[in-house]
Amino acid sequence: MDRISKALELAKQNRSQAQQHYPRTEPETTKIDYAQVRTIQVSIETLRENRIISGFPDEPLVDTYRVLRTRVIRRLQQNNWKMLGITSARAGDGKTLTAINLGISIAMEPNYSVLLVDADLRRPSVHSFFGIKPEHGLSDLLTSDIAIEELLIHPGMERFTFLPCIRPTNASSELLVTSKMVELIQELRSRYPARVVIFNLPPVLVSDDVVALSPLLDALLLVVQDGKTRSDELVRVAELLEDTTLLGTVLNKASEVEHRYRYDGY
Amino acid sequence: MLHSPPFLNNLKILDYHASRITGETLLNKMLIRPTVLAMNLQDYVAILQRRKTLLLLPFVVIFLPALIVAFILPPVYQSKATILVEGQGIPQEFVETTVTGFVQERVQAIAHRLLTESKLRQVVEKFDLYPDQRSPETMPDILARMRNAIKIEMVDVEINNPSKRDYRSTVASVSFTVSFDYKDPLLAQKVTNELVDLFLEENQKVRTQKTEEVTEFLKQEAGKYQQQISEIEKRLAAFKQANIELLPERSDLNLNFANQISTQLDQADQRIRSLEGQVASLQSQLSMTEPNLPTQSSLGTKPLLSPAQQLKSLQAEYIQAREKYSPEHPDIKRLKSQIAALEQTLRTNPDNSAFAPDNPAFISLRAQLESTKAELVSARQEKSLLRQKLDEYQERLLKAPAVERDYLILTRDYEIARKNYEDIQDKLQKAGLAQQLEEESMGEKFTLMDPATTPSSPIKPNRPAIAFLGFILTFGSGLGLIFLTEHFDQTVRGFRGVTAILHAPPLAAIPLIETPSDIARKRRFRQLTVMLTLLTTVIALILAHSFWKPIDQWWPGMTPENDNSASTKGIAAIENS
Repeated sequence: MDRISKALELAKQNRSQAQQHYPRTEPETTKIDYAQVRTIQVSIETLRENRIISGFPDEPLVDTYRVLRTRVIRRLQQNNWKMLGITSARAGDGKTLTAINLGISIAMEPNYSVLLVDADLRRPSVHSFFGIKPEHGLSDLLTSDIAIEELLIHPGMERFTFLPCIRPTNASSELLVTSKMVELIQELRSRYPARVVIFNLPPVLVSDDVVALSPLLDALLLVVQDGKTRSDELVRVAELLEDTTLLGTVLNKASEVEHRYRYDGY
Repeated sequence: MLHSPPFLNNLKILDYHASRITGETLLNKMLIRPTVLAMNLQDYVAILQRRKTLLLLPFVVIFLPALIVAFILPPVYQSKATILVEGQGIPQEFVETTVTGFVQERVQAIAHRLLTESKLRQVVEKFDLYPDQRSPETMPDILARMRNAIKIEMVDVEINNPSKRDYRSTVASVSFTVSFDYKDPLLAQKVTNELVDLFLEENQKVRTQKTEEVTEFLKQEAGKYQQQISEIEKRLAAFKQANIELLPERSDLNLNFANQISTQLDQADQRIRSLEGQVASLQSQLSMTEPNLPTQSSLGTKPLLSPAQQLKSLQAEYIQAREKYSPEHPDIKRLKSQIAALEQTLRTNPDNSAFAPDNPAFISLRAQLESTKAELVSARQEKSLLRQKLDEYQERLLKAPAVERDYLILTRDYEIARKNYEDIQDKLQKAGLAQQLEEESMGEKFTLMDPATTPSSPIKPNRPAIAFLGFILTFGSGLGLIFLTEHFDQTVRGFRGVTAILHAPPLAAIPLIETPSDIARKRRFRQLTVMLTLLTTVIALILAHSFWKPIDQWWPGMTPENDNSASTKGIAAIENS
């Protein structure tokens, strides 16, 4: 947790300096100007093959993401949160897909725009879901001096952009707590106030990236895989995340019955 | 694992915030959503849905084989006959049967006698049973199978027996069934009827034999007793002979005799005493009587004295003379020589024949004396004889009690032996009657009440039951498997699973998303599975048909020719030879 405190310190410092380093731009309006962002059209088949369904209103499962979206938005509103991290216990739980689908779903609300940041520096995969292979990504941003605008990609959905990560690196935890990262987050927060930034994080039990990064974020969303995530793993995750703010959990790849009969709740 | 992770404080805060918006109180929420959720029906349905593939294994391993078995098991037909146990024709009060035991025992006993190896072998060969499996090595197994296929069961019936005091109904075996299981219904019937015939025959034999045995036994016993009796009789006779006077029936007589003799003895004593008296008086009289008559002598009428008397007088004289004179005196000398001469004479002539008495009184007295003496002697002799006899009788009387005891013992033994013999004779007579009863078939009979018929439907296998059993087992083991896997499943499942650990349910449940290629793949997989199953079934059928049994012979009676299959085989064999 040394790095965390260090990072916090750094963040504090940088926040105070932020005004000097970055010129203030106009407050974000609902209409986003994508002139600075690359737009790549992704075919419907590609999306469907990669299970990105939030954009298709006819798809029956879209409703489930809608329910999730509504509840997540409510909580974000209640607490005035903007930075949401999505993680899970282990790899393969479907957090990246959830992040994408949730992001797109939120973006379908007229008052919201979404930026999805692929913060899984070890196994970045967001771009592959869209069938895109850009040149540079987040890892490059953190290691060299590339402007964020050059990295953002708009895959053709309204109010939805993502910041991919291309080059995997094993030094993820170190990178994630650099001043650059803090700056980035700070900028994202201040530049686009109406925008929700979703961070696709690596699994909690695989590395300590999540724990390192979570103080910089507002809340975490935990993806649990129905029938795969073990009870002890979930407990361990809860232990690790005890000092963080958990917005809630998502039961992913839920069995038929769960989906059909379990829609009680609040 | 059930401890509440500290981070839940955050969640609770969330809840609280949420409740502020929706208006529900936290308390309400906690009541609505308890921390530990109980399992309800939906949970179980969910588990079943989830684990339905686990049922596949028991299905294939248990249910399918059960179905196959239920299908292909050859049918077994059972033919059954009922035999009635008819009670004795003549009432028991008149002729008691000697065959004992409950009907059930007797039936079992006969069954055992019938189901011997030799008898069964005869039946097997007579009807050519189990033709495919018969061979010298397998014969014991065949016979064992046959024994199992034959069932003899008592039919119990409640009867009210009015002849007995209590009117409660008793359960009695009134009839029994004989049945035989076989794959050919016609043969089953034939064999059953054969068994019935054997049964009836055997029963008759057994009963007659039984009564004969009883009679024989009794005869032997009677003979023994007879012997015993004659032996005792001999001993008794010998005893009687040996102790004839000492027998109890003589005791009175003996007593009388003894008394008589006693009296006689007294009388004899008396006579002896009187005779002794007579003798004494006669003697005294005789001594006073001169043996000789007085003779005329020169000296006057001095009687002639006998020498003895002379001697006495001389002696008297001598004594007198001695007083007067000295021994030198010539009178004394004279007397002395006279005395000596007389003494000499007396000595040489003791009987005094020189001087024979001629006094008639003397003679008669002397004669009386003699005769009385003789009487006395005989009387004394008589007395001693009587005494002897009395002693004898007294001895007898003394010995009598002992003899009486022994005699009683002997007679008692004799009585006992005789009684036994009479008893046996009585029993023998009764047994003879019973034997006759059996020989004339008036005893308890087995009669065929219901002959065996050709069964129209098989008794085994109970195909639905086997299939059902298979189903139950499958279901049971499937449930068991499901339970086991669920039990050992450590993963988080469903809303409940998440809530159990994090104390708050997930925000949403996202089901598995299927891509078009997923769907296509699944369809292909299904098609492939169906085709494979069909193919496997067809191949299996073909294999079974060619290597095991042609399909049209899987059940007897499936095709019309099958009924004569045995005879066609036989005809073919004859034609070929």
